[in-house]
Amino acid sequence: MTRSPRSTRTEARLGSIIRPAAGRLLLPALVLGLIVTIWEVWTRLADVPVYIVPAPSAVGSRLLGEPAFFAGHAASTLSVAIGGWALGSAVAILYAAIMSQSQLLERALYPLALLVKVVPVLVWAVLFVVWFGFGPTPKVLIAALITFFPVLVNTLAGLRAANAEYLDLFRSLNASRAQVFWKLRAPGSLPYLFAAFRIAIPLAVIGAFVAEYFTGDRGIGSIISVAHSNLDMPTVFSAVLVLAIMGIALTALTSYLERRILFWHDSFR
Amino acid sequence: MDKTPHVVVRELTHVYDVSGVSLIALDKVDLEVARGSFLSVIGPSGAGKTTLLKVLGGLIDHTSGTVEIDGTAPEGARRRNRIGFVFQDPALLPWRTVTDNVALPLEIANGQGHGPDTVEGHLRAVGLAAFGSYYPHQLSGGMKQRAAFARALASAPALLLLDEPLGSLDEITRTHMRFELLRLWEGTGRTVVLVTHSVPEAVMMSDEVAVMSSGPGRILRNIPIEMPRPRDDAMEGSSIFAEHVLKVRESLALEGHRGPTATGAGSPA
Ligand SMILES: Nc1ncnc2c1ncn2[C@@H]1O[C@H](COP(=O)(O)OP(=O)(O)OP(=O)(O)O)[C@@H](O)[C@H]1O
Ligand SMILES: [Mg+2]
Repeated sequence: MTRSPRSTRTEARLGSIIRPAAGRLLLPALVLGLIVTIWEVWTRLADVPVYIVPAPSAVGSRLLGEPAFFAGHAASTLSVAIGGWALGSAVAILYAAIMSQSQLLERALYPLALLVKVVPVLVWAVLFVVWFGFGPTPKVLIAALITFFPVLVNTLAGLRAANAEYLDLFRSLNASRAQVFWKLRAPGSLPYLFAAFRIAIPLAVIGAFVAEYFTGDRGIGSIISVAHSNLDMPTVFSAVLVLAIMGIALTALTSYLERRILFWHDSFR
Repeated sequence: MDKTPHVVVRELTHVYDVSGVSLIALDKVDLEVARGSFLSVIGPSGAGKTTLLKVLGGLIDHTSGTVEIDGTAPEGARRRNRIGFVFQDPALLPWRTVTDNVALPLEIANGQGHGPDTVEGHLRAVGLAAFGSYYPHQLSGGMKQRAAFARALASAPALLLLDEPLGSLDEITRTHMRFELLRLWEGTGRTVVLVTHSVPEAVMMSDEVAVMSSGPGRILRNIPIEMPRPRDDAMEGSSIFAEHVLKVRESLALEGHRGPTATGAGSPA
């Protein structure tokens, strides 16, 4: 059987030990509450200026004072991240599928993928802005670029991972190359693909954020860019909080889908 | 009934190339398997039993000698779906239900659209009729192996090649499944070649036992098993059974003394 990295299995096991949902949420909530309280007390007692570190209460009132403002910008960051993730993953999966067909193709195509990876994202950002202007296109492309490599590498590993017993079985059944691909290799690579998504989705959010920070007039990145130059720390902290919530929500969604789709995999039994 | 042997092997030699070094896995093996008979191959680890089975099934090309299945090369017999395989690892696809796993050979042979009736019949034959919608991870080891048998039977092969199919099961299940397998096979007219490490299993199930030696792999002796059919567990206490077991054990012990002096092809995989 194909297996994704060990960590997923350990996670699943830990999850089953701290089973009740309430218990699972209670502990992190307690830790978070404690940190926030200490932080609040500290800023008040030490009289920390709000343009250095704002008190949690200041951040909270900023965030709740204008929820539509943050929600609107979050939506545009989210659409850039998801659009980039979808585009980057689609291209990566296709590229991996082609590479998996032969050693020759892999040798021919891999250096190109590596080139995309080793050129700093900032260089790509500059080029994309030159080529596509300041619209959503360059931002989506940057998020796609960051997603591309981990998805490519994992999908390729997954497509190659079919073990000897299964290959013998398919050979004994006279399966064509296409049948081996669609009935064995493709489903067998799904655990690897999801392992890649766990890495790539937060990266896509970061990519979207960075792109907006430098080129955007919209999105969480642009909020922080503007608020930062105004030393408006409550807004900066609020934006970071929104970004964090977004990242956590997307990761939770991925885990949920993974559990639903890969119910048959070792790590979820 | 057709008198020509189903399987004819003459001077079969198979040499593996292990990074430039030749490893003689099979050395001038002669073998005949009568149509509709049950032959077991027994021998020490590394004797080349799996290699022999893979050659018979057309999974690997042999180095020299002739191998004929129904008068044609194994490759050809495989292409006509005349050969069914069961390996030690049941190799069920974890993302398919039992029914869909059993349907795999039909699906591969006819594109899509398998007859659900045929599949159900095979499931009933192996006692899994109620488990068609289960996934492999919901089955016990014995049930998985039964599903693998149902799958091998689905393509209605004339020749069944079994490589330690009961090897991963516990003693109780194993002994029980011996007779289950015999019931499945009796009256079908199918030819079976079974690789096993268990002397009682080989004797109880077979019409003939081929004892192999390792380093390099040869067939040492062919021992006909002259016990009436149908066989049942009552025979395990009979003297005729004990005599045959002793005979096979003696042949194996003979090879055990020869082992160390033979040239070095016997290292386990
Ligand atoms: N793919 C391979 N490449 C190179 N050498 C191999 C390969 N498969 C098997 N061999 C070698 O051929 C010899 C016979 O192997 P084989 O698997 O046929 O033995 P076996 O009788 O089935 O052993 P076991 O009872 O342990 O399954 C061994 O020495 C093994 O190392
Ligand atoms: Mg073997």
